[in-house]
Amino acid sequence: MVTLTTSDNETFTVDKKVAEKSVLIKNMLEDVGESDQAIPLPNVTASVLKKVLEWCEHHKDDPAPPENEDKDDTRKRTTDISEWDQKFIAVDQEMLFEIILAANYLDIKALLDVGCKTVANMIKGKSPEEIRKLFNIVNDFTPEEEAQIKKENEWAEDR
Amino acid sequence: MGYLPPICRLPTELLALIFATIVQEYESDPPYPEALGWFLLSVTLVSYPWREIALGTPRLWRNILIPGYANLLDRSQGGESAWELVGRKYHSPAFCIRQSAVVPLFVYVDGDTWPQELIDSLLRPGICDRIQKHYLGPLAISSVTPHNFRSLRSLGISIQHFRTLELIYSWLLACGPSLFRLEFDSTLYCPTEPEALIAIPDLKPAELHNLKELCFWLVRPVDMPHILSCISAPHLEHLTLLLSRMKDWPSSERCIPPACLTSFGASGSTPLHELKQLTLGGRLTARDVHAVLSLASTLEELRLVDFQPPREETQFVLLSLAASESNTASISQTNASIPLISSSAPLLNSESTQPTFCSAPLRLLHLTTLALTRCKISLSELLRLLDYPLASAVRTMLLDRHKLIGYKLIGHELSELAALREAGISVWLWWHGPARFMFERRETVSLWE
Repeated sequence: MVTLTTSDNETFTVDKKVAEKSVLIKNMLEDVGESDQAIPLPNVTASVLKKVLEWCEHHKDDPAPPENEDKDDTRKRTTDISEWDQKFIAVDQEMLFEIILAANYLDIKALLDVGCKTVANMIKGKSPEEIRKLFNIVNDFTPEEEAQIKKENEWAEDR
Repeated sequence: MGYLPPICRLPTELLALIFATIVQEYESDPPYPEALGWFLLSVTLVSYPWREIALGTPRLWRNILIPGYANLLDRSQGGESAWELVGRKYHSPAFCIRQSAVVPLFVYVDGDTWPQELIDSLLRPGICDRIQKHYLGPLAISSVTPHNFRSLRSLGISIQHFRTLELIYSWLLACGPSLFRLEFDSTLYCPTEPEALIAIPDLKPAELHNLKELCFWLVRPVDMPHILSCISAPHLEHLTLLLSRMKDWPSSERCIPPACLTSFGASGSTPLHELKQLTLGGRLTARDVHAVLSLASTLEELRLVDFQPPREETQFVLLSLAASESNTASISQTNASIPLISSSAPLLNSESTQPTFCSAPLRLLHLTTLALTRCKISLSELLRLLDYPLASAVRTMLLDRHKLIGYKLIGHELSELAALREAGISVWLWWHGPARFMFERRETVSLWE
């Protein structure tokens, strides 16, 4: 078993196999060897780690992704997400982006993929205005600048 | 302190990764990702930071579209020259080439009436070295000379409107040694144009020793032997034969010509003795499927797409896939360890007459994945298939019934699927099912994840 301590000082004790879905934790465990000491995770809060560990638990028996994935295979749909992962990631935006940040920090590539694909699906096919509204982004272009960019790219806008 | 929206807390590299995920998704809609221009414009218009990140991420700009010159002139209003138009952002090859820095390029050439000096200035040697994928559109093949593309890994050729092989052959000769993937596409083929490609007499096939993937994408069957006569690909691992779906062609033109099977045979220029993945589709007959499968004994993954021959024929292909004299002890043992459905009835009743083409049994001992997309095969038939020794290596089944009317999952099939799970077989389903199994379009469903 492995003990993890979050930034808000909560501890989680989990199976080593589950914790090692995180390459960061796996490397730490290899570095320190057998130890009862808790591993500090100063960039992750308890609520986010709980969610991340839920994902790791579910995927603990998944085969490791191939190291040299063929990047040429663009015919493969990249934004398909399995049903379980879709349900898992159906959270508010606050939690969604926290999970992405945690997956990046903990180096859990498959979970980072799920997060990025989810956001990609939210962005695809939307106009700039729709994207801003969805994510609460402030439009910092002046109307003139926006008109100029649109004018330069009027064909793209036709599509 | 002001409220910072969650997405704005992502570091630059993560937002760039999300943008790249979207671009990769669009790239999966070949030949040219039509919606890509719209996405790139949208994403650069959201805010200054997004614009900076998008413009600073080279791989977003790796798709270079060289549009049809005539089409460009049609759009030219207010006296702009085509040269000025091609200089516009986002649709501009020059802009994308600059913005993509040094990443490998995917180039799509869509027309052939470009002034040669314009093509030459865009596809100059330094740029050609970066091109990893090259898609030659309907009329383009004559305007781009192949000699600069000696390190090309992936080449797509749209063969509609080409009635001669010479240009295709010159490309294969020039790029052959480096090619990893080769695709022939005829998606826009006009059925009123009946002539087949004109063969070159006494042709020596281009040596494609590194070619692993060969794809015929809705190519007219009568053209295939001529194309194959240009190719020698002894180490092919992936083959896709999605033949034309044209209903109004004579039935004799809808199946794989025997000359293709000769090319794919043991002594042919492109033997399938290292083939791992085979995708067959279009208006193929059961005889076609059987003939190709009989040449591919090393197959690990079989995908059938739109395979809808008469029901009896389908059953016989499945039967010949399953039944074989090579019921060796080791296979039986493997089979015995799987608690398959005990109530399996024979796949065919005894009164059925087996077509002669099925008399030779198939030997697909390495087949681990079976994928069926819009195939009119009932689940029960498939499940029975797995009861036979030769299919016992199958560990993954993919069943896509999207838009296939009359082949929805029904109650007892679900319990049969549960039995498959018990047998250690993963089943992936894509379908519009009854109310409680209704899913969004294109959603991937795994019942037992």
